Amino acid sequence: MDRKQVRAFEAFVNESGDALLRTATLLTSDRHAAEDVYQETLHRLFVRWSRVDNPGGFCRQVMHNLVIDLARARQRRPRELELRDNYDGKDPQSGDPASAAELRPTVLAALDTLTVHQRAIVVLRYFEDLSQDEVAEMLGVSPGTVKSTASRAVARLCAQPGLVALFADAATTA
Amino acid sequence: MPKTDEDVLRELLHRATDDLHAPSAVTAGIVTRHHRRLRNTRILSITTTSVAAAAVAAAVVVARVGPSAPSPAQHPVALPATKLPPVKLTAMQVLDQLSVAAARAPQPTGRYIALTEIDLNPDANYPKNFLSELLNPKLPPLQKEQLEQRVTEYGSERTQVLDAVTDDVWIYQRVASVPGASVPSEFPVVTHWSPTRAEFAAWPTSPAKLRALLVRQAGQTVGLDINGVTETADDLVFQEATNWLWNPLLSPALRSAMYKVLAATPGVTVKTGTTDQADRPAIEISRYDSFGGEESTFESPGTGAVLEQDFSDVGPAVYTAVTGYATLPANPYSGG
Repeated sequence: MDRKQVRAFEAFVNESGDALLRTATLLTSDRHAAEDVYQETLHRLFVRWSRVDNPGGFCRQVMHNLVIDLARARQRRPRELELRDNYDGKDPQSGDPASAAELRPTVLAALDTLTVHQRAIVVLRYFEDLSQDEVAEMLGVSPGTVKSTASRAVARLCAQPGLVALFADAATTA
Repeated sequence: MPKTDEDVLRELLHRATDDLHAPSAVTAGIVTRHHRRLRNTRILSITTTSVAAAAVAAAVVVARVGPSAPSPAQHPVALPATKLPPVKLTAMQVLDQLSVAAARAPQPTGRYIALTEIDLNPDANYPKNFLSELLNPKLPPLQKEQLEQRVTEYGSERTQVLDAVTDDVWIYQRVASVPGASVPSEFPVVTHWSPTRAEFAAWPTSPAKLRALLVRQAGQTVGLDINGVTETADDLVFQEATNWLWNPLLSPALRSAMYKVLAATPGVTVKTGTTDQADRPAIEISRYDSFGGEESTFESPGTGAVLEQDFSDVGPAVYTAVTGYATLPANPYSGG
């Protein structure tokens, strides 16, 4: 890897880092676990940078694999205690931090009710806005499986106590 | 038109995370961590401290050649040349010797371990003996200071402070392209960056079990198909083992086991009697991966410590990075 490639890597992270961290947060429900997944994903990307055609797709794939690993590990050991918060900076150009901070626990708690597989499909499909075919290819399942799993997961999320009102309000105010 | 549940979910997922921003230190940390994989010279120097405020007080230089125990005050450049054995050894025999040397070498102690790297831009046209001059322990302080200034003219300088207890790493960087750039007001912290000393101590030292662990650690990418080429477990074992050998928190037993793992990895070649780019005697361990990239690591014959690591991918390699020279701020937490 030469200096130009390092710059390209840095440019990719500058452009996609926030989105990758947000995806990791939605996949893990744990800020520090999300940061670890984010770091490890970029670490693996950097090592293979010159060989990867689609860095975004590579990151999503690695992130999904890491989250599965994490889920297995959590079955064997308790979660670590949170030590500090590293990324609460406000960005006036994106969203309302107060609103996000209030909403996040509810959304993450609802996502926690899904299986790792369902959760990955929800995040890739509705947060990353990938098509059914793209999600199917990434996860190695059929598009039909993506469709049916997403449908069941959305129905389950709609029924979560914290989200029922939000779904109802959004539907009526649209 | 009313929103669908899917639309509402999309909106909620974005609204719930819009305030999250990636910590910028991570990118710098990754590039720093992997500079050794670029074409570089890496001179490893380790400063250990029992408390962060006394970072420079108890210096231990690991990179030493020769059978006797290293002196804490001894500098890498001052080391005597190694007398290589007159008989030809197989790669496995050489790696076994390194394994024995690593098992006998002392481990840096103290909670905080400081590593300093200097990256020199080859286009900067620095003098050929610049690196060895820079690391000359007999250099008068004034001249040393002058050379330090020239380092930042030719490239950049980074220091990483590893916390052996909490696994955090503090990184600061001085970049030549930024006029007047110096030590930032504080170290950007990268959390969970390195295993702790206790975590390393729990790793197996049986070569077979350690290899299995290395494969598991890289497990998610074993067999990964990148542009039609499949990365093998041996590729990843070599990559993981050489990656961890760099870490000064490895115990002598674990470092020794890493060399045994390398000895059992197909495709590994060894060149004895060579030197790193700072002219220190070294053993070069290399391997071509499935993609055609060659990774090399230069080790001290006497201690098994890493002196230099190179990665030559497709295309010209442009970095020259040197570690092991620089002083730490009195307090790495505040930079003061």
